[in-house]
Amino acid sequence: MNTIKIGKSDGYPLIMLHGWGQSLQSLKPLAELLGNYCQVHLIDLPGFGQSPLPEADWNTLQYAEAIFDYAQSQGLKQFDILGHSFGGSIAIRLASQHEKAINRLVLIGARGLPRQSKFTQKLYFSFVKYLSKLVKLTDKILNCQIYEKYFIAKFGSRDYKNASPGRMRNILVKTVTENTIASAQKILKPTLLLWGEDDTETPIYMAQKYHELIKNSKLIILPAKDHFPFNDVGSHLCAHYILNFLSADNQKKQFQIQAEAKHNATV
Amino acid sequence: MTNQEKRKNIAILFGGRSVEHEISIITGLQLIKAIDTEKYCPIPVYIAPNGKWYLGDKLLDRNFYKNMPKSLSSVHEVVLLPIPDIGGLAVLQANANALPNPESYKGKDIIAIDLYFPAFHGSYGEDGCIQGLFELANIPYVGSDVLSSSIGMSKYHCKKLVEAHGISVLPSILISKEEIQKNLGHNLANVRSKILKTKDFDKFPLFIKPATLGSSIGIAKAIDEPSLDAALVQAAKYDTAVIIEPCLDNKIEINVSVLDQGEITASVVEIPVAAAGGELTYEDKYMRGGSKKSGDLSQSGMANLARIIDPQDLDPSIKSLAQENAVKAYKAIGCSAAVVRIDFMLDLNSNTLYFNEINLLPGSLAFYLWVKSNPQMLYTDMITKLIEQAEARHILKLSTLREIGFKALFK
Ligand SMILES: Nc1ncnc2c1ncn2[C@@H]1O[C@H](COP(=O)(O)OP(=O)(O)O)[C@@H](O)[C@H]1O
Repeated sequence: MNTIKIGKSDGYPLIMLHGWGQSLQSLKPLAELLGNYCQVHLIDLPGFGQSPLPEADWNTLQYAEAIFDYAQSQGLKQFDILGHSFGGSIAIRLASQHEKAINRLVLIGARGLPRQSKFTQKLYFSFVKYLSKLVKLTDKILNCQIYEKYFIAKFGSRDYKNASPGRMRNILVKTVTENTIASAQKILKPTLLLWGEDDTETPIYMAQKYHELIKNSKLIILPAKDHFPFNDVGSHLCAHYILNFLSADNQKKQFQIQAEAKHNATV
Repeated sequence: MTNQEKRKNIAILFGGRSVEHEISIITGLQLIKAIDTEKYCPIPVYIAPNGKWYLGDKLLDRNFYKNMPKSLSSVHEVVLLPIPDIGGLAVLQANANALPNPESYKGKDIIAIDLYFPAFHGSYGEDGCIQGLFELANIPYVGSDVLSSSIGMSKYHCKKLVEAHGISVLPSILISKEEIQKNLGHNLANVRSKILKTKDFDKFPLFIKPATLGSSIGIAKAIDEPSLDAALVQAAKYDTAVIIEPCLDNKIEINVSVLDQGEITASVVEIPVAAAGGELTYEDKYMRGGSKKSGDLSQSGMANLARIIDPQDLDPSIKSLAQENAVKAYKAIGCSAAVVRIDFMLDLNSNTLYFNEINLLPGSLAFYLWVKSNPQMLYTDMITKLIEQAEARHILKLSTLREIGFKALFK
């Protein structure tokens, strides 16, 4: 996995996970602002940026395990985690699977909740699904590539189009229908939900749902921001809320780390 | 949203009757994107090139400005009346579709505003004019007051003032546009000889600039008499007065920001980098980088300029002198509740650091310097600090006694 570390080497560790179709670059400006206080670990998720493809068609749980393994390899016993979009659902999985390892969570436009689609939308989706089967069948019979060449261009989601056929598309199909409700319910750690009010990819009803599901969560809705509230100077606004949230008991944690280091040194 | 009712309405004003109109739009919209929306409700207020004021959420969309003047029908037309205690913007022409909705105040349609945050650059917005209106309306506003704004805007007067406080400046001559125009027929011989006879001005190259403008508009270097004439005429096109200085040919520019955060503090220094060496042009400052289409202003304005922030190879004693003099100049000019950027020139021949100018409302409010300062300050936190300082200054002002009576008339 391609990773970079930014910021204070003696700061409290924070792992940041990007969204689908992105790479660690998308979170870098935000990471640089947080780096003045935290030891930031930016990760290219397997299959994105400069990280190689995962060895199988992973679901978010498997992604979460890969992140956990990375943290272990870095000697991080406990850390904060920030996830955007797809990275958000991975963070949720990680927090529910490895409760002890996670200290606090920041979720920005996190995926993982079913869309509330209107009846007409539902009708449209089932029509597209039916059509896709039909087209695939035609392709098979006539040995042509209507599906790849025309159908996806017309009906595929942006993410689907961007995913290269094969492994990443399989992973997208697998993860997009995953549901993190049960995992989110298990999370007891302090959680900050940052959400763009104009987010169309993960609309704010999802933020409200997560706010209900995660007991110890705080929700901040950012007016006039979309699914990428940390772009441009939005990085300053997001960093402001994140640092306020993280600094609440950072000093205490800092002290613990130092004490631990001392302890380890003497042992 | 929680606490929505308790949020203060902050009018962010931008645009204005200035050649830096567009850059102000960038600064204003950027500010709105970074303001703490849990605490504050930003309300965009746009002053069109014709001087009319507009308010409405549609101003947040960049396409609004592409579709001017048609798009003006989608927002309210408003005005700030020069009358104390109205506390908001009076609606001249309401638009049913524009947000926020006006409320009624003593029979008038008013949009309530708690504090005004000007994000103008250049004439009428940075020079004390709009600040005068704020004073008349007796409302709290961010940034320097009338006197310090107008002194800061005049390169000549500003230099005289800081010089009196022991800060090095280049010698300068001020020539009015009137004088230049009067002599146009005579090939500017009179003006020219007056300049060349002055001490320190007897040899070329000289540097000519409009006396109050910013963003490198109308500046020129004169290497001989004809180019001096041309430079004077050119600079006088943009301003009512022109300033002449000896030209530094071997120099670097050093900029520092100063912020009132209760204590007056200096940021790290930066060295802006010109595209082809030499002077920074308007294009360098605002058009380079980011923008693909020519004539398309880059999204991030001054924050996008090629620059070296906190250069490691710059002599630390020069850095600290720049910071020290910047704070001194801020105080000498009488700035308050403000963030400014002060531009110095370091003459590499004599190793002298000259104060060049102060920008009372710098592009992007110079936030890019504060985020690299120690301790780091986020733009969001800087905006909050400025608002708090402005509120504190207003309260202080209200506490000064001003009794108005008619006793003298009826003695
Ligand atoms: N006396 C001078 N000698 C050489 N260059 C100068 C002189 N004065 C200004 N400049 C250059 O001209 C540019 C613009 O001048 P400045 O006074 O900063 O005006 P503006 O307010 O338009 O930015 C600066 O980048 C500076 O390098």
